[in-house]
Amino acid sequence: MLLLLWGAHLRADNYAAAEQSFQAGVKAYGSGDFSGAARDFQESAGKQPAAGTYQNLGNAEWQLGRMGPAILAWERALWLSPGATEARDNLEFARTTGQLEAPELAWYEVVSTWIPSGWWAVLTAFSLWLVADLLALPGIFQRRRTGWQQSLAALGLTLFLLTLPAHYGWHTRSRIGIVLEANTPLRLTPTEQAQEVTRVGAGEPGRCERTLGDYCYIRFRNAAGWLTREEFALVAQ
Amino acid sequence: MLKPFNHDCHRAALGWIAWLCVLGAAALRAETSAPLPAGDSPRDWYNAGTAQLHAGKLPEAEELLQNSVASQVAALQPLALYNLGCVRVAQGVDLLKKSKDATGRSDPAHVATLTQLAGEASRRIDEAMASENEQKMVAAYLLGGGVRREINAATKAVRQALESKKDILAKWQRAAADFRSAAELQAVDTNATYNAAATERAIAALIDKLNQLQQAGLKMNGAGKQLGEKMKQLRGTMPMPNMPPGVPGDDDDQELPGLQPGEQEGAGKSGEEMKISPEQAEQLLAGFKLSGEHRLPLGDDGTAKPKDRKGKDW
Amino acid sequence: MSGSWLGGRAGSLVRMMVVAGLLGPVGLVGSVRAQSFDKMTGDQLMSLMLSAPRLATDQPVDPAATFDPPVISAGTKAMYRVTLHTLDEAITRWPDTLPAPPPLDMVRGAQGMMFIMGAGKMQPLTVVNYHVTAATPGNYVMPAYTIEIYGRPVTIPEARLQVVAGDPGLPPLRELLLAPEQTNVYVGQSVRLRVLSPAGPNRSVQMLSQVQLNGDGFITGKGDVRQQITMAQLPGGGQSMAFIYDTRLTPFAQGPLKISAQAFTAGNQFGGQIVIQGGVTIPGGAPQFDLLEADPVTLNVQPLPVAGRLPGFQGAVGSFLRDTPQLSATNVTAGTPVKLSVTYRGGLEIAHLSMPPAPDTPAWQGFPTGNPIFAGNSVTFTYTLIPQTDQTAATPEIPFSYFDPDIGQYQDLSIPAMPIKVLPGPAMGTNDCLPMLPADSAPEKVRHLSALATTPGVAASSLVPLQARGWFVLVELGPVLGLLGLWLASRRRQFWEQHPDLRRRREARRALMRERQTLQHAALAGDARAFVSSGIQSLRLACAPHFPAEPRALVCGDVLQVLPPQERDGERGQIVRRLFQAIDALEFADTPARFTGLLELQPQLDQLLTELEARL
Repeated sequence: MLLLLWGAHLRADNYAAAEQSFQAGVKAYGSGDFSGAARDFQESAGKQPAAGTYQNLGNAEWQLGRMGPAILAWERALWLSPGATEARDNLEFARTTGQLEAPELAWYEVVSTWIPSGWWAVLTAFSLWLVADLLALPGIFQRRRTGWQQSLAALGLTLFLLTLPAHYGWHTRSRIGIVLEANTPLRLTPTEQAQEVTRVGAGEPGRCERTLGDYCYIRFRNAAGWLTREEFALVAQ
Repeated sequence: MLKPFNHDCHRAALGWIAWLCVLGAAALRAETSAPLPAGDSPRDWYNAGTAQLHAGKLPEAEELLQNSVASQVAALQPLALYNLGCVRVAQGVDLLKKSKDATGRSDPAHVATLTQLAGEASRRIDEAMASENEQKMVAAYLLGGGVRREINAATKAVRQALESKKDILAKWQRAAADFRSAAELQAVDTNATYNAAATERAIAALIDKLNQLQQAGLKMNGAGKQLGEKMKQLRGTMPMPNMPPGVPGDDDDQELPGLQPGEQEGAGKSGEEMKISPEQAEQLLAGFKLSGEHRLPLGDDGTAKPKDRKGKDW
Repeated sequence: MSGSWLGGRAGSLVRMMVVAGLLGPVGLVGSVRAQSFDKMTGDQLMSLMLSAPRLATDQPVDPAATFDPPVISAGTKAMYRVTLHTLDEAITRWPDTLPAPPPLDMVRGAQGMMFIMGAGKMQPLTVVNYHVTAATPGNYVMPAYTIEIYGRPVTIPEARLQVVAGDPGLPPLRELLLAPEQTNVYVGQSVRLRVLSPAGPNRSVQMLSQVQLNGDGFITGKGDVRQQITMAQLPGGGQSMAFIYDTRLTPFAQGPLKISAQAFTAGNQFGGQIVIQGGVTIPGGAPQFDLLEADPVTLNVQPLPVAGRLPGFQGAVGSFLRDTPQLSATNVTAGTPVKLSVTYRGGLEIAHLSMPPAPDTPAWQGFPTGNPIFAGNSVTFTYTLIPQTDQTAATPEIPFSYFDPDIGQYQDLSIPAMPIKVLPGPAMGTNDCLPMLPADSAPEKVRHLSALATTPGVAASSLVPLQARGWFVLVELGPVLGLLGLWLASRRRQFWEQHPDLRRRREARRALMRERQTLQHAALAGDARAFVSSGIQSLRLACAPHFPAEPRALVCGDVLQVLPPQERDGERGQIVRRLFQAIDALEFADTPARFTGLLELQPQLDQLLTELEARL
């Protein structure tokens, strides 16, 4: 209990500090200090990741001409809040402007974007344990299973099964990332002096298929190769 | 600290590296798979590429090994990168052999001689102009022309030599990086580290030679330009009838022609800009297509008249 | 016109290419420049320049001046011709008026330049013409004068002209003749123009080179040129063998259009393809490059009328016919492309015909297929049309019209609608089902950045998905453990229910353990009464499960019964008896009980209790 209270206290402190940085970022942005605003929003997001903070961070990065970090920030805003229309519009605007394509999502990934990931987790856990309890508890307490219990269990099981593709979608989507800098060389091998496969532009989406040391093997729409973690950032990271 | 460059020695050393690589690859191939497997797995590509390297078919070996590296099989990548480095070193050595200048015009000693000759010719032109002796002028002009022509030829040879050496440099730089990558992926591979170091030494020596050649070439070119200026002055001094016809070196400089500062396009000789109405311009642009593909038929037979026309009867 | 388009460095480059034989004869220079520069890369252009023969720029200028012909009759015209072996750009100063003797009337004529191949180099040749007339006979000397070439003075030598009263007995001045097909034309109308060089004595005909039309407000087509030597009707009347240079020009400015021509004689040097009909003499030997001129002619150019303009007019002027359009299929499904080809026929102006724009209607989507195909005097346009619905029975009409200068009216030559059967395609269902959206339901998205969010909004402790965090997995173990615990408790309960003796012994052990602690405390405190009470209770607890019975109901005999028979009367039996006697005395005697010596029994009692506990 004490631990919980201590954790809640720390979290409240973090929230207050994040809020303070957020407001400082808004002020800096308003005064045209986009660099300072980006720094403040970054600090706020580090303490308390929030959709609005990432949206503002994206705006500030965009104003600084940094397309990769801007798109990453907006993607993170959408990751936290799939219904954030402003972040979605900004992404569309940026991709239209930069002639970039959005990541290609499979159907189960699209399903996973319907509600935030935490909700899916809660829904799955709730439905799973509802089913388990309804099936196990009457036996434990030596009671007969009633009709409504069995119906509720069937409903919970259906709900649980329906949430599984969304979970898989979240898992695969968590491997999507964004190239941060323009003209980033895509390496053939995970080495410092690797041969260049091609160069990728800032904001290009890719999927990290595997990692080796500081390198990720990224698959883009038309190419695949190795990038360092400084060159490619996962959205869910 | 690099040792002073002896190009032949390094070439020989690189040749040895390439040869040892071939032998090593052959031995490895003999160990791993006696008959060359037929297939398209990364392992097959690696084996086939190694066999091609052994057979001296470098482009094929490069392609196969490159495919093997690109297949991203972690176990194969360091091996394929090592052999790829060997292939590229050997390709560089081949290029080096082919780029040898048989005429010796790109030789630094020859370039230095020409630089001195250009200075001598400039001096003679100065003397001739000072003496105002027409025969001296003609002789100095002819000498200058000959030197300039030779300088132009040497400049061309130096440029070709620089270009070819840049290709070699690119190959070896890639090879060194391949060796380094192989060593990075397989830290215990001391052979790759050794080869990388040897290739980097050769690269450093080649860069030294490139710089030396470039400097000598620039110096010669500068002397040639100075000589050209002197010749131009001399030509302005000489009476037109005494100008030697077809004097060489006047218009075949190796520098590409272009607009000089202050030079402008001349105005047209005849005709003035006309003002036309927007409507006329629209009709003109829409109705008249510039086309060189539709020639008139030869002879009158092919000329079709859709309707009787008024006007002259041709 | 040509001069202005050819001027400067680009003009020199084009000229160099022309002379090098890489381009055709000079015609539409504008088109040469546009097409060549657009299609060539810088490297190719540079290669082309470098591969051209070298210019002989250091050769002597070798100035010459002559009168052509040297003897004329009074009142007729001669040509004063200055020839210089240099580039025309090289002439940096030329006198405005020449120092001609007073009786000679000199008017500046054409100026031209050409290149002559010789000794592996191209030698430039520049010629400047003056028209000379003299009213009175006499011998006239045109004195030497000075011009500047590259800023250096060059002296033009003197020349002599003899003017006689009668027939001089020499051939007259060689001139070009210029004959347009029509003199009243419309803007944009293509007009045929003929430059003639009539045969001289003995039907001698020289080739012409560098034919150039001078004037403003028209353009010519490079490809629309043909050359021939044949019998021709001369503009001034009569017939003669002549070199004929036919071209077409298109005026683009209204009003009077003055056109003149100039060309170099080229002897027997053929430039391009040429058709020779009839007997002529072509002079041999080295050619004499003289610059000839034609007197200007004037075209009256009228603007196209605004009234009566029809839809689909794109500037086509001429006379055209249209073949029946052809459809690649007459039975298609919606969404399937069908090709529509239509051929227009006409005169040479067909080459300038633009393709009518493809239709784009709700029912049909169309776009041009490939480039127009020109064949002789016809051009074929091909469209790809895609029916968007099966509710159509014909292709859309494609409007096209042209202006016919012969009748002075616009004519309609639109591509008519072609009957076609469109069957429903796979995509038709959606078309039918989709309702039309109200205008304000789908506003166009504003293409700019959104405003800043005023609050942080939806927050999380981390971007890592909840299900991927360690604590979430641990939390998920809670229900598992809970269920497991419930199950184990249930099992245990069932077990005790099935084994009551075991439960009694277990409970007795627990109670005995607690009571023995009380016993210890009493012994340590020296409280004999509590010691006795707790000792009795411990003995009862240890013996009760053996009967089974309630511990408080046991008496001394019951406890002794639990002891082994040999110990009932022994030391342990005595301890039990003494304790029960003491408690009986305490509870039932009238005088206060005395517990002296009982506390010393603690070690033996402990041992006894341990043994009894072990039997539970």
